[in-house]
Amino acid sequence: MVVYIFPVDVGKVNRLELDAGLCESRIRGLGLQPVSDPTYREEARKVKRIRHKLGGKAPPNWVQLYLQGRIPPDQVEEVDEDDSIIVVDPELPFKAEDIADDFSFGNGTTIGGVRLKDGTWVDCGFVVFDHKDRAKVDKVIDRLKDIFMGR
Amino acid sequence: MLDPSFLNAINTSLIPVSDNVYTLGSSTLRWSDVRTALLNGWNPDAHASRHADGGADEITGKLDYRAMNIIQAKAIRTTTFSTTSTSYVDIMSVSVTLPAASNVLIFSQVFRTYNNLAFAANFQQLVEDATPLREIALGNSLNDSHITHNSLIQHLRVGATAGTKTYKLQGRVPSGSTGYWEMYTSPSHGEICVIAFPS
Repeated sequence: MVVYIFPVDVGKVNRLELDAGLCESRIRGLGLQPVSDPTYREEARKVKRIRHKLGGKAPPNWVQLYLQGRIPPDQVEEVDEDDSIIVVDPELPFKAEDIADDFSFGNGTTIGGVRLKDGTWVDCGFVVFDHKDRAKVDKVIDRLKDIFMGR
Repeated sequence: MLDPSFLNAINTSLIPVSDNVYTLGSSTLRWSDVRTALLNGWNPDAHASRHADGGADEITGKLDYRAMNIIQAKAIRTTTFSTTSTSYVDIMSVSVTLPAASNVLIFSQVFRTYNNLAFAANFQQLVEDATPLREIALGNSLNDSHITHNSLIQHLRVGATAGTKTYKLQGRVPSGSTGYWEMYTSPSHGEICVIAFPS
């Protein structure tokens, strides 16, 4: 998976004029599909995937049950799936390597902040895409930035 | 009455006639200082470095910690967090360096939290570095959206090892919904704090 990080207009965020759901709706309007598979979570260095320890013998609806908090945590495990790719907008005051190794981006679209290795937080928004969509995303990256700025 | 010149040049051991009966000075008539090479056979000078930061057998940090019995740290966020993520995303964090094995009480709360979808629950959890400690659901139990919930989450972490720890609040939401953790300027900010004491 690949994470794109952009600056946000904090004034619009705190006036609730700009939020993750609104951004994601506009992103989908560009023909892009942010990752929404709940078993995937992106960290700064690794893509993590939740799987049931019983594998194929797990209940068919175990993901739904897990999301509802109805699967005991010791029945699932989180494994490294892939290396992360992080693309940081040049307007932001940090680079991908500055982000804390254990920072979790989750999936989908988020407006909030990123924690750096020195412990500071920087306000921003981010969206997670599948690796295979990267070329398509790069073609409209300026539009994505506008969306996160509420323009 | 003893001759004062004898007291200035004692050349014999000073031994009481009975064991553990007599006291040197009293609560109201005290000696101002005692200068001695050993005290009960223990040499305080040989361990002076214990009381200096970085000394050979430094214990100052641990002694201070045990004397206070508590350390604290907190962090705040003033930007509203929203997400469509169905897996956990970091919302805010605080780091603390534990001088010794500790029990750590962790609290976190934002101004308010809600989800834009009827019957949808925001989930949040406290994490120590990469280890989840406690998870709670903040559900829209009514057939309505935007029901606000008290976001307080707390956990007593028993037996944390010495060293630097990062405690994080993370959030996730059901598919197709947006969850909000509203945080504004103080006193409506989001806050995560830890109170640690020796275990």
